[in-house]
Amino acid sequence: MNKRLLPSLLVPLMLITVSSLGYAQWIDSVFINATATTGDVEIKITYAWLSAPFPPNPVTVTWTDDAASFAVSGYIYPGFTLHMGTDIKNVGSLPAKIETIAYSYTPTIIESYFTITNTFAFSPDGSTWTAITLPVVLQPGGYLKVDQYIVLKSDAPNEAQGLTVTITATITAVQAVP
Amino acid sequence: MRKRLKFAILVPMLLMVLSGLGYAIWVDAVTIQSTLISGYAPTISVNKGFINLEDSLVTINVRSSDSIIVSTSPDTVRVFVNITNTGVTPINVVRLDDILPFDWYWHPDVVQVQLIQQDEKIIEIGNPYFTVSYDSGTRALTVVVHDIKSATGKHLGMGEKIRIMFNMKYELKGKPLPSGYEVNPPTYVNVATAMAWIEGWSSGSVTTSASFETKIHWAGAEK
Repeated sequence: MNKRLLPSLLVPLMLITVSSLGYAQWIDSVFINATATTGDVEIKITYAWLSAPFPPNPVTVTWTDDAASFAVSGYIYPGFTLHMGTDIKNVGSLPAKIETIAYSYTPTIIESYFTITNTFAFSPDGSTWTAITLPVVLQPGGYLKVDQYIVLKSDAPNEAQGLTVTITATITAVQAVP
Repeated sequence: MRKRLKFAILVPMLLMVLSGLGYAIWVDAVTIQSTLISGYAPTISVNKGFINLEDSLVTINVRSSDSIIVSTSPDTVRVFVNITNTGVTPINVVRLDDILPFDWYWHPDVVQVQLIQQDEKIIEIGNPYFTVSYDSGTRALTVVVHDIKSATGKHLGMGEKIRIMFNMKYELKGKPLPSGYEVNPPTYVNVATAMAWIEGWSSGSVTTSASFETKIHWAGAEK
């Protein structure tokens, strides 16, 4: 009985164990083939212009995709205003968010002598402009107009005389998170 | 098995994190650069004179019977002061401090301010754009043209001048001729000091003077 009982217990146990091990070793793989299309965030300058009132001096305006330049020849004086504009287009495939404009000055001390103000306008296609405040999300193809006023302060001290000043405004776009 | 399991779990997570980071840092930027050259403080010159005097001479008419000064010829002396912009810096404000000669006082009938362009064309500057004050104790007349651009539509440019004209009268009229004047008729000196501004930047203080002589004329019987 014992000899018969023993196999009758062990064989099923062994079968269970083997089948369990076999079960455990059976491997199946599922391949998820995901295709992610990465868009791009890209803005570019499409136009740069001066707006009245001009300073009495000629101003050379040039621009590329990434940079606009306004070079005033001759001198400026306290109270004089440089009023200029730049059109920026979202040429990327993703919505671009523009939050602020960051300024830097050379020489840095000159920063306190200038007042800079901006107004902004948005257009979906560059045809009809709507005044806005930042931040703004530009959909692909959308435009932002930056109207910039640079004023040498009326109370600029004598130390502000005879300086070559470079003011750089950096406009950064990041992908707008839905 | 554990390795495979870990691999199966961690790799997608890593990819998700990396793609998330990549998603977050997609940026682009453009720059607008402005280059400016600041100018210098204004520079001026000042000159003055007397419009209605011939040979810089005033005649003092004295009544011979009692040595009372009855009049002067001319009756009033018309003074002009030219403040000329000698630099390239435009000027929006000028100030004149004119110390009248002793024995003379400011007669507030006509103060005239003009902007004279390089081609000598004249733009009149009206009353709202200048102020006049007079201190009889010091005989100091102060004229401030406080907004040339608003008054004329332009700043005072290089080579252009602000001309200020006013009248002064003889203080001793009706009084006896001071002793000594008969023998030594006085020479009167008129001193003007001017400054100019473009907002907070000012020129130096520039002073000039002009003088005229007098002669005594006895009216009535010969003295």
